[in-house]
Amino acid sequence: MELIDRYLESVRWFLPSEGRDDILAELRDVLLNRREEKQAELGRAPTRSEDEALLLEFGNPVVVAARYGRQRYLIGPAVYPVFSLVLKLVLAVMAASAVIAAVVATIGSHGDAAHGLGMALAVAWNGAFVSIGIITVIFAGLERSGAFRRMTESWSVSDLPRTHVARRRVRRQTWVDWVAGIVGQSLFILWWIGLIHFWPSDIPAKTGGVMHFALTPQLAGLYWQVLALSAGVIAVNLAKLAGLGRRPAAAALDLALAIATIVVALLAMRIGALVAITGVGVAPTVLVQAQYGVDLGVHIALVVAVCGGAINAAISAWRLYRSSAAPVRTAANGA
Amino acid sequence: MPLDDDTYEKLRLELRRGSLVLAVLAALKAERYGYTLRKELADAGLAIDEGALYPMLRRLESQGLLTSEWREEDKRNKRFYRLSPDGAGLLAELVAEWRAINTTLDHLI
Repeated sequence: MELIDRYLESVRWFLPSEGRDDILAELRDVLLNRREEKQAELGRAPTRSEDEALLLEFGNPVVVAARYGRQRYLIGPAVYPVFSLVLKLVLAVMAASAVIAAVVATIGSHGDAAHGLGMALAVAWNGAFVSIGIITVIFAGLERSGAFRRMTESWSVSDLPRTHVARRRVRRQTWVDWVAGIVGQSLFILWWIGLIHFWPSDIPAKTGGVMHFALTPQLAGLYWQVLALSAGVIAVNLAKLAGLGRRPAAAALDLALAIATIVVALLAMRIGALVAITGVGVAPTVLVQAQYGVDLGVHIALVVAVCGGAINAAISAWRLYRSSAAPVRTAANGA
Repeated sequence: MPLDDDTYEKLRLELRRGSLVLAVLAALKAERYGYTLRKELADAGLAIDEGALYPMLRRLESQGLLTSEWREEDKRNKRFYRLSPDGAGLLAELVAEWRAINTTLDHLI
């Protein structure tokens, strides 16, 4: 009896509060019946070890209690496929972010690979735990509230994803994109070589005096690389206009340009200060603050360039893979 | 790929799950408490684990298909179950469905 009481007390911990005592009373009756059956079979009262065997056979208190719960899972079978897909995508992004962080940290610390590795591990570790936690909470909420069920019930045929071929038609680049790329990069080259100016190099300070903005001499080391990259963008867009269009070669060139963008941006980050601010009649503290703000802005812009380059590289690589794999799929489908 | 025993067992349990509800509802046209209900089903060749039976009884009661009451018998409190009027109506529909499935399967198998 003492063992049965202890067993039921353990079951109580995991039972839903509604009807708990009722369930326990019924379970007690079931266990006592079992014990009486055993007693009749043995012709004597069961020993302690026989009582233990009886409870072992009845099942773990957690499992027994779980059968009475209304919801036995955090993420149910209907939600799980979507949960799993989202988790994989987010973890892939986290892995890519960790790689980018490692590269940036290594370059920023003048080749200290250990620093880069530490940064990658920190990004991957913290990012993975936070993202897994947040995604699990969101999907558990969708499961428990029934919101996911309602979402799946109200689906529409027009919501179905487009097929491989149809999607390419919708998302493909047009001549407008190519012309815009040529015009934009041409203007940039004209500015880069000093033929046009978009803004004055002397700007009046609020506190009086004039601040002068100029590119640092260190940036001159990247002069030809930046020029080559811009010229490359123009050349690729011209080739697309001339008939290269959306062939696999275009995706390969886009991939090369994206990688080149990442490399140039990382080299620029390694240089440090790209814009030098001097002033006439401006307080030194104002100059320091302005320099700090500009440096921060340039640094953020370069990080964005690296991330954008990484995304473009991934998209180009994917398009290249899809375009090269398409004939094989068609043949397989035809078979 | 050869099928293992586990696959057979899972499919067998799946097949039995629906029919067990029907059996429990049918057996409870007369009032019974859990222990005697389980014995009766086992004697009829439809053994059911207690871990599955009692939660099922509770669920069917919460769905309004069964009624229950605690009564003392043999110096112990026991919970007796019986088919409710709604449960009786539903049982008739389920039995008709069961027979239709049986007829269809008899033609297919």
